[in-house]
Amino acid sequence: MNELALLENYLIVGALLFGIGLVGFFSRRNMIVMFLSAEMMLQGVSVSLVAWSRFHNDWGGQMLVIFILTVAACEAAIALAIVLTMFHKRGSLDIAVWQQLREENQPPYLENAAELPPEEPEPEWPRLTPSGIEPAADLEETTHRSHV
Amino acid sequence: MPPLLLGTIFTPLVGAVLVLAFAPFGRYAVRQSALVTVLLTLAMTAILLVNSDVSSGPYAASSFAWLGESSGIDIRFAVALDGLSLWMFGLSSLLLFTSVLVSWEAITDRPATFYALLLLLGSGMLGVFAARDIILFYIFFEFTLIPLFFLIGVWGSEDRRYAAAKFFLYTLAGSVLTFLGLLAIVLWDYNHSATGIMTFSIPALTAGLAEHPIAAPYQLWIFIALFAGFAIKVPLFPLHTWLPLAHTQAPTAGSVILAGILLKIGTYGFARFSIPMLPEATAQCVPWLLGLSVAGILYGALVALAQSDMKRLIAYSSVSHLGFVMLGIFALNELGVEGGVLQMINHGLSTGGLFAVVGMVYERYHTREIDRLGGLARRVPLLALFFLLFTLSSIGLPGLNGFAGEFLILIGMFTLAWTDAPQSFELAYKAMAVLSVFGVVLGAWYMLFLVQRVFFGPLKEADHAHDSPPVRDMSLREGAALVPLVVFVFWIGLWPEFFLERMRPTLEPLARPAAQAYYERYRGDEKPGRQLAADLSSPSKELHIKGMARVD
Amino acid sequence: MTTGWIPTLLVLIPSLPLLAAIVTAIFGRGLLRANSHLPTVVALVCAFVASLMLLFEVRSLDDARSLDDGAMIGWEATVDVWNWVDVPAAIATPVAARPSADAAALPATLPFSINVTLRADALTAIMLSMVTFVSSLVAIYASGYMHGDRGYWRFFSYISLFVFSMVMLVSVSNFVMLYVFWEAVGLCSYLLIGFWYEKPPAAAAAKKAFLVNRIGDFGFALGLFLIWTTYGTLNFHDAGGIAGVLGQTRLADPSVYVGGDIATAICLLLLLGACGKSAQFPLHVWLPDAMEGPTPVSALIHAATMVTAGVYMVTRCTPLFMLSPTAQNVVAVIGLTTAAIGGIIAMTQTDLKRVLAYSTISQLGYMFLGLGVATIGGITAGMFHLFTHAFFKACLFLGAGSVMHAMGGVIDMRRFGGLRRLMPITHGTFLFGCLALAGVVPFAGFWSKDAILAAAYEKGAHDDLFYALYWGGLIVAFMTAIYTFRAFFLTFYGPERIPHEAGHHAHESPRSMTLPLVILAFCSLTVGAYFEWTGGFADFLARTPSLAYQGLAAHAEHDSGAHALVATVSTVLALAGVGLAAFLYLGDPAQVMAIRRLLMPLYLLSYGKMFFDPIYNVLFVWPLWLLSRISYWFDRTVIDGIVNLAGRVPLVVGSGLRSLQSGMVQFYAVAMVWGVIVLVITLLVWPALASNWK
Repeated sequence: MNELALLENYLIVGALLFGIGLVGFFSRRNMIVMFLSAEMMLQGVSVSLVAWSRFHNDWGGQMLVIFILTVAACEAAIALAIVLTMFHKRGSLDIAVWQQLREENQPPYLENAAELPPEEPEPEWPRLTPSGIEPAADLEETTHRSHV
Repeated sequence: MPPLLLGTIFTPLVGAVLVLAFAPFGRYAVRQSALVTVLLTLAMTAILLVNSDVSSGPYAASSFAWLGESSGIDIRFAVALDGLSLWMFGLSSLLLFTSVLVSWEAITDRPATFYALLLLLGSGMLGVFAARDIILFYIFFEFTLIPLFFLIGVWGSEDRRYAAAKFFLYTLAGSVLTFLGLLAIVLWDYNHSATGIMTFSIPALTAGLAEHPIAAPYQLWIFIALFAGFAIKVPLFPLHTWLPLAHTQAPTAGSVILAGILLKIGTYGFARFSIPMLPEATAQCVPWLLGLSVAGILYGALVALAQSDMKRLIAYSSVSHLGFVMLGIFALNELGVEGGVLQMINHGLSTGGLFAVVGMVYERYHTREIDRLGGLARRVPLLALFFLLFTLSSIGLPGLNGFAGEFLILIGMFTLAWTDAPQSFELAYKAMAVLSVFGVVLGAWYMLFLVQRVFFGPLKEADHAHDSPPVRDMSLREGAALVPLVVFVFWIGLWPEFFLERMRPTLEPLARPAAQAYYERYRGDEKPGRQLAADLSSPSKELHIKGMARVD
Repeated sequence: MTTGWIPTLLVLIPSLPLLAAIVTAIFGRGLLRANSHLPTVVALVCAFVASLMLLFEVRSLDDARSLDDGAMIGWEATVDVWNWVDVPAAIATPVAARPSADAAALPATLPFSINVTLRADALTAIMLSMVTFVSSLVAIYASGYMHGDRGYWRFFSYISLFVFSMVMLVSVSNFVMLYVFWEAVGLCSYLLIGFWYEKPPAAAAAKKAFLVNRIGDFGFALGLFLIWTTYGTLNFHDAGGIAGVLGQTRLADPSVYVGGDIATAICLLLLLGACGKSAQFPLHVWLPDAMEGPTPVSALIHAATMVTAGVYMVTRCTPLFMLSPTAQNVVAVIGLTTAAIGGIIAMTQTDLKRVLAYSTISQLGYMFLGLGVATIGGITAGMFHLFTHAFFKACLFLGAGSVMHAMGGVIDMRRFGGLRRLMPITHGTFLFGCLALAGVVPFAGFWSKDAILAAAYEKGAHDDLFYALYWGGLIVAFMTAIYTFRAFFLTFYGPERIPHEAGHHAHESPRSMTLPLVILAFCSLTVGAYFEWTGGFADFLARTPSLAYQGLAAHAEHDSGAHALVATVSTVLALAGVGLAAFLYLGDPAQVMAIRRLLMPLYLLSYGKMFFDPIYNVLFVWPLWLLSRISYWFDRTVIDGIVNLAGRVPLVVGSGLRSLQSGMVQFYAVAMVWGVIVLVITLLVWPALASNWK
């Protein structure tokens, strides 16, 4: 098996990884899965880079891969944090819930976004009495004072 | 006196800052400081004009390096006056003075900003005519646009926003193309001159392009690019529709400046750039430009006839009159060019005066509708007298300024059509010449119709608020705004040679290359037995004919 | 050659009225008030004296010059006042500008040099004297007539300005300045017709007069431009080494004039200008309306002086008209047509001033007929008629004004009558004027009209057209007698009727008004006979360079037998006309009604002023009006529509691209992939394509 055939195999694997990732990114609406697909595309490119690096006998490709891995790690941290926040906001991982960035008066691209859970009511937080001269007592206020 | 010219251009600018500084002291302080500024400008302009000497090229020149000196790009802050710009410069100063006075009572809303913008505009238009560098010219060119945009948009009448936007966008669209054209001229010169310096100096470029003219096909494209901006500014038919709108909506001062000065920047641009720098293209376009001019003369007059709004009527009359200016300039002979440039000043005086008087009527009756007024000569005789005077000047009554310009233009056009026309265009030129004379008849019609309806007949005053003071005739301030214009109306009418001889040294060589190119272009197409007058350019001072009886 | 006092006088004559106009304009309102007429009257009388001095100076110098300067054709002198425009190298020297065969010595170009140059010659001297004389009398008359008017000072300022312009018009020596003052008198006419600007008809008439004159001036301007392109100069006289259009060089050798179509075109265009100013068919429609102005104005401007400017101009340009027989015939035909139109319409008008206005048109037609004959006899006869007409028509108009003054502003002849006892002086002077107008021996009008008809008759011997014109002229003379005396009898005879506007104190006019009337009536009686018997007028006028040159002298012929015949026939016709008018209008009104019924279509045609106004409205005014409306519509919808359309392009493109912003992440990703694909393909394909094209 010569060098060229070896390179071809690796490139095919890289291309397959990239293609699967691409298709996954386009076709899935779950944000976690989309993120994983994006990572897969990244790894597909990394495999090709390593293969080319070996083929050309220099370290440039591998260096870039290390760089990609580092970036991917940071990216994963940030992306997952964002996904988490978005999930907290809407209680769903469906990307179709987030179409607000479209132009005004445009219809939503996807109509069948996942059902949103009912909004939770804001909890009643305790309050401090203001300082200074005591204001006239309010009956309702006094009844809620127990928590302090 | 180089510093004087710079000083004249920058005085309004400094005045604008001062006016803004005076804003907290109220309207009176503001307008008085504005008046002092324009009086100062006027005085300095007068000194410049009295000491004018254009016989040996531009005078009062001052020039210093401005941008990119080290990199082989020569952009200078260069100003000077020559025969072409001399009187336009003076007229700008004069109309600035008029427009400050006509705004005296009319502007009560944010006066400081108003006068600051007006003075800024003044600086811009003084600079346009004095600039000797393309970049400087373009900066001042756009500089006139922005203050007027705000003047119309903020202090205008009911439809001001739309008018301001249309005026601004239309003019800007054209002037961007013009700028491209000017850059192309600079680049051609840079690529073909031996100096290796990219010069933006107008005289240097004119001289350079005379040595290595731009290749004909490029000339045409550059000409069209320049045409876009200048023709919109003029405005040449059919690019005129922004003008009636802007005029109707602008405050009086804006109309006066717009009609008096800004339109002439277009014709000035043609005379300064297109004709001397692009002679071949000019020669090629002359028939079309003459045709458009004549179309504008007749069309503007016809549409003016149908107007019911005084300002709009005068605006359309401007389209017609600027057609005459273009006709003269593009007749490319001495008579036409001198007449055209003189008519630029004439139109500024008469139409500026007309707009000022209409503004005064508007201040009294709050209407511009012709049908709501009548017989005002009874109520405001002096105002009527001034209006009649400017009307007569505008319709070219002999003895007043309009006649001198129009007559020279027409006789220039006839000289072109009857003695210098190539055979293939002869009939068209002759028709154009005759039709343009007919434009003079139409001009008298719509203007006298206006006078008859507004100032003559039984008194009819638009109902104005009952608590407003009774209508008075002209005040001293209004008289002071108009009298200087009237003085020049008579002066130019009675002794045009005084003005012409001070512009002739510049104008004589101006159209010469274009005329040469024009005659070259049609050589072989002459009328049988007649030579096209290519040797017109070498004036023979020996005019004695042998064997002729002398009277004295 | 000595010019004596001539330069001083030439400058003095226009300066005086100009000064009066300025003084009255500045001080009239506040200082002079009811004395506003004084500067004008003094200035005009002084100008008249100066004009007379000029006349005698010209005559004596002309008599004297044969000793030392016999070569000059006619006699002329010029004085340059200032340089108006001087454009060097304005035109390539036209072939016709070369009066000698020595073409090599000519400059390649000629300058456009226009001086304000005043000239003195016989024609100018006569016109100056006539204008200043009549205007002095009218100014004196107006000081009574306009008394108490709000615009008293304004009136006299305008009148002085008019006299200045008119005096300049007849004394300038180039076509541009002629045009300048041609329009300046038009302006004064505009201001004076619209003097009572609050009256809508007056304002409308003023505008109409200016516009119709502008149409004429359009022709004049075109003619002037053609003269420039043909001859390369616009001066009358030789100046600056260049042969003037009517200068000595050219007159000495008429063969250097350009003939053919261009000459005909120039003459016809100049004629159009003359038609405008002198109210000739088809541009005569403004003159009757101009009667809206104050009556002294009608007398001075619209009868005696300004309207004769066209006759003056054609006379001045005689050498040009001699080049084109077609143009001569057109002048004559237009003259007679106008004379006939004026005569027919004047027959039935009920407004005394309008009758006189149409008779003015008619008499101006006679003058053009004389000019069209284009012999020295015809042209001097035309000018002679101009001269006599000024006196008797001014007399008639001022008489009409006197009647109007007494009748409280009423001028409709149906509303007054039998005024001869009430206003004896007016009656007497009006009678003199009427006799002169009707051409009864020995009044002034007889001699001049007779001279015109005789000239036409003489030319008729070779040219049938002029024979026909002669007979036409006789018929018009007959009509003139009828309508003149119709007006006279209706006004002064019959039962005494006074309109209620006159109040109870209808009376003869004050002395300031009757004095000019008497003087003018005296002139109406004498000027014709005096100059005819002494032969002074025609001989003196013929010393004008334009009339003294070879080309015209060749046409000179004289046949005193013809004169006697023509004189007899026309006298008989005039007396018959007077008799017919007396029979109809002194007798039973039923006869008039019967004739009116008999000739109903003709009556309607005449009473409706031949329907020129409505016809012109339909033919010219309305189409233009419609065209202007259409243009405005076109401007708003089509031209501005296209502009707005162009302004909408960015908006439309932008709204199209908006749908791309869906907000769906995958959509953006797909777009990105597509972009990459396109880029890759371009990179792969472009070099291949580029190499193929090369």
